Amino acid sequence: MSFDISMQYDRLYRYCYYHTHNRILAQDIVQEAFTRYIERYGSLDDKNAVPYLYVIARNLCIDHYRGQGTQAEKYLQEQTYVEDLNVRRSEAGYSVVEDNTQNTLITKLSIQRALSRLSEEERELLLLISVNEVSAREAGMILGISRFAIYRRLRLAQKHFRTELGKEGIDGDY
Amino acid sequence: MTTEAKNRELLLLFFEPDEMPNPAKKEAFLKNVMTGQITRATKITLDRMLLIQAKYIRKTAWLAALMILLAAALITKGSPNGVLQIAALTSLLAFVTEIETRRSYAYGMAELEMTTPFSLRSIRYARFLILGLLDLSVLTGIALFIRNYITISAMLTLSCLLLPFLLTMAGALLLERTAFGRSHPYGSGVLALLIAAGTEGFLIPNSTAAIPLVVHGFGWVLELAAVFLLVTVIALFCTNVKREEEMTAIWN
Repeated sequence: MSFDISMQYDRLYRYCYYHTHNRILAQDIVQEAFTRYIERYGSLDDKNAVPYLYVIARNLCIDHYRGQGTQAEKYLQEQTYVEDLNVRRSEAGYSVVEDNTQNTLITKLSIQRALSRLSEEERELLLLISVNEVSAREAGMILGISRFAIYRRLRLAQKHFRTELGKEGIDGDY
Repeated sequence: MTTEAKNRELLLLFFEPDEMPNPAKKEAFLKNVMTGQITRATKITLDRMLLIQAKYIRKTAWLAALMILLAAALITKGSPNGVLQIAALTSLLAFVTEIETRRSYAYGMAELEMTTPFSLRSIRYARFLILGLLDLSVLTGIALFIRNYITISAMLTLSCLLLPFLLTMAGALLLERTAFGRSHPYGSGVLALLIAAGTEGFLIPNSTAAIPLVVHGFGWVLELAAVFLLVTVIALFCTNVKREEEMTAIWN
């Protein structure tokens, strides 16, 4: 089994970035997770490498923000998200509302609102399986539930997400 | 496009980080992993860890313990009663032990020791255990020497030897917590001398005739006191280590 370390690095970074919303911190956590994994288990060519890396990364994120509330929850609050997005876009030299990105921004806001109405577990499942393409077996190991439960909850999460997207007016092309 | 694919596209739009990881940092890290610079950590067993920590204990601490044992052997040979004076010197052994256990704290080594593969707490406990075993060996040795000259049980003999030792340790550990104790690391030496003098004059008198009066009558009290002091010393030591950890974390 080959392990594409660069791809997994980016996916783990995406996962940590969602939980921390801090570029430096997310990258530090990714590297710390890899280092801890290698120091503990040695080879990355193990079928459990991916779930173990996610578990280590998740615990590191939790350790960092223990008692402060997760950054992911804060980020899902609309005001924070919009402000954050505007700051980044201003820093990049864009005007806040620019023609070619306006639609993307509106869609992102709609998705953010839809996701904020999902439970934390549903968001975690969507991020792990739908976005980061983690297998159901691996997701089960990360979240500590059976593969059967993963399939069932993922189906419900996707259905819930589609319903919430529909409420935001995104039901087909966007 | 299927619904799942559409969902994924939308989710990717949201979850895609606004800032990508630093490419140079990522590349350097991946290179380290690929070239094997980050490798599986060698597991250090408990006995190996104790051996490593034993090397950090100053030679003077080992020498002091050996000298007290030798002195006990020599005095026993010359005068059977004189060995009781040696018993009072166990407080000096405690002083040497206490000075050794706080050495790294006195030299501000706690911060460095926190970055080792072991926790600061485990390092302190390991050294305390090694020194404790060394002291117990010395005390057992002295007890064996004097066993032929007094008629009390081995347990009671050991208790009598332990009492000045543990009293000094408890006092010194309490002193460590005070501002005076922290600025005067050798202040516990004065305490050790006082307890040594007191022990020689009262607890174990320099006369075999007095032993039955002092020891036989209150033997159980002495044994109980020794156990109580032993527990107190361990508790005080653990508390001091915890405080040291907290203080170092605050300073960091």
